[in-house]
Amino acid sequence: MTTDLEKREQQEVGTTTAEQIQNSGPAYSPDVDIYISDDAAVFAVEMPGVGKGAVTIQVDETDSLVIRGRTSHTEADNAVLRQFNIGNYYRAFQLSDEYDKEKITAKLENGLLQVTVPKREEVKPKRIEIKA
Amino acid sequence: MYWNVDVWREMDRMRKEMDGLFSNYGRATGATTYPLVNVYDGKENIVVTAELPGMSRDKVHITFADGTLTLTGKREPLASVKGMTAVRQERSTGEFEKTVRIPTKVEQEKISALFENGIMTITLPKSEEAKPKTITIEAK
Repeated sequence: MTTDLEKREQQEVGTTTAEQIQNSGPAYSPDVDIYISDDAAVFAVEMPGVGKGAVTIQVDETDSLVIRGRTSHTEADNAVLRQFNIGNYYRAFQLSDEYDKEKITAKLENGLLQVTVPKREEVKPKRIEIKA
Repeated sequence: MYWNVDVWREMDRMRKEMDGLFSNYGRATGATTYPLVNVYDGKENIVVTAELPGMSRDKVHITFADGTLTLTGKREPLASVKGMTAVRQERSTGEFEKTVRIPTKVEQEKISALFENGIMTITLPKSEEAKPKTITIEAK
């Protein structure tokens, strides 16, 4: 069951596309939970510092689900203790063809992004009515 | 050899990070204990930021006593995925308690907190006596 959600992740992608160069600065790989059911897959992506409108979700030509977030949190220069870094987020996941890439939905709440990718109707299990 | 300016900035950041390890603020519970915090020492305020993605504001408790700031709460499993199978879990759940030592006198009753986009920002105004003073040198 897990093989169709093979992960493809990159820590630093500052030079891969023009778009990312524009974003400037390093991109961090956010922590993710993935849940699946007969109907869909849900990706819960931690993006603290990212507000609504600063997230892009795309499926590229290789069927990768590419998730990016731009932080609005700014860093002061007088840090005396640093346990987390502030920056943008990037993570990508390979989708198998049982998923419907046209019907992806997402919501962002308190820095947690939830992306729902439904399975295509024809792969969903059918319930067969048993007639009496 | 070409050196990107960012390399130097990164080195500077690492140096500051190392300095942080030996400062009094470094006595926060575990560098990997949830939630991760940053501490900033400004002229007027000490500012503590904590990463709490997915938490709701009313589920985090913040207390300050004896020079120690404490954040407690509980990370609940996602309600929206109930009944689904987890195939990857990098986020964790459960109760947490994080303490951060603040070795500066602060105005306890003026401490404030703001939760925005999963980041908690706690501002602790410094007591008058803890603020930096400029000493005027008189001419003779």
